[in-house]
Amino acid sequence: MYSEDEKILKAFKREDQVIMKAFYDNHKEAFLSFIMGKFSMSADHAAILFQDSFTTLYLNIRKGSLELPLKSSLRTYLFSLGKYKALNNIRNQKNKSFVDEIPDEAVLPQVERMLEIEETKKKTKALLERIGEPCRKLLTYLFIEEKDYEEVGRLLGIEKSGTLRKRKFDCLKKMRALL
Amino acid sequence: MEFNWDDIESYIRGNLSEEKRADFEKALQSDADLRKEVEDYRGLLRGFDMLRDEAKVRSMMEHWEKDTTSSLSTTPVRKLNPFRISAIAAGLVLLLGAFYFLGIQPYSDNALYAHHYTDKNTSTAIKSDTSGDHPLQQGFDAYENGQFQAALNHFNSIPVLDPNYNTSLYYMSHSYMKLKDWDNAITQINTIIGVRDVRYQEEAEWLRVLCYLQKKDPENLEVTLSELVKNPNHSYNKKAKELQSELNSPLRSLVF
Repeated sequence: MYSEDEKILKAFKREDQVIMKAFYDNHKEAFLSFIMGKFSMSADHAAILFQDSFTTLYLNIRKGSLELPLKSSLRTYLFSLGKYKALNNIRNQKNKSFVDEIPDEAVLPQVERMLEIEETKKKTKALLERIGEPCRKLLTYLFIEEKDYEEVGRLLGIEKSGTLRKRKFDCLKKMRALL
Repeated sequence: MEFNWDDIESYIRGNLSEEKRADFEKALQSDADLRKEVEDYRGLLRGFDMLRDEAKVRSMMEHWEKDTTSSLSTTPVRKLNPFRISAIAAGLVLLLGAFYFLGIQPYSDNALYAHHYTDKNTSTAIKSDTSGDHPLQQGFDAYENGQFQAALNHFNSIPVLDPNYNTSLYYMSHSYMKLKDWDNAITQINTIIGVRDVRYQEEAEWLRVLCYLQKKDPENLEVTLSELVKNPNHSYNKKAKELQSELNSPLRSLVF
């Protein structure tokens, strides 16, 4: 039913940037006018929301949460993510007493599950913030920026790779203790 | 058999040799602590992988946006004639001399910070609250009276689920900046950026640049500033470009 979208999903999986960019460009304008019109959001904020929604879609495809066969078009997933995130932003801006006045937008249940990824990201970021700058830098270089030991050693002024490995382990232990 | 972190990581990533994997799985069956350790590290690695993939896709989007912007930009470069350049240079030297004469160093970190940092007026934050009993009021009062440590204590007491929580984070950042506690200010700002509240997101990214400037952390200053400079849609793009050109000014090297 969504054969074209399924090809796009496979392209996301193998990080085919030409197809990913085409998808990004094809939906950006429509997404912005949809969000700006529906939620009275500025163009700048709608653009941030578009990139956030695109990122969530990409992460879910990469980690296998969005698998074949698709139940909706990728455009529907993207727009639903945007809608959900926009509603969250509005809720965050208003006092709780106003929450009930926000129209209850029906979003795909699958989209709600897709947003679980945000929690994992938030939790990891928060843990990284709590382990101190030296550890945060070291783990960021190694696991997020995927630098090799040699480069990390050079950046942090640690000559021996044994010392670096030991420090990496200590930092992970520190992070684990905060779980 | 003892297993170290490298073994655990290799097991999670599926990189252990067949023989070692069999040993590892055997140990897992009998060792509850090892099972818990693997489970915890699996969670941490999953989080790292997500942050890495997020950074990757954001960098892709940045390139795509740049491509679009550069293909739209057709403004011709205007050439200055050499006499005009000399006149400008002479003017700048005179200006710098005048600044020195007056004891002002307009390109120092402190001067740039003072020029670009805008103090926060808390009244705008409570304008929308008509009850007269705003939960942040005590913090705001302390902030307005210059008691930034007391303000921090009040803001810090706002629970995570309170609708004013993000606002409290935002004013905590300003309080730390007022106290010149750059490390804590940056930590707080990173938290705000993490929650992606559209009210504070872009300003927080700009404040982080100013903190790195004052913290004398050129590496992070460059990274965070160039993010704003490269994003034409960012509200602080113009200010970021202005700061970047001030930081790169040859006059700056003369004031230290």
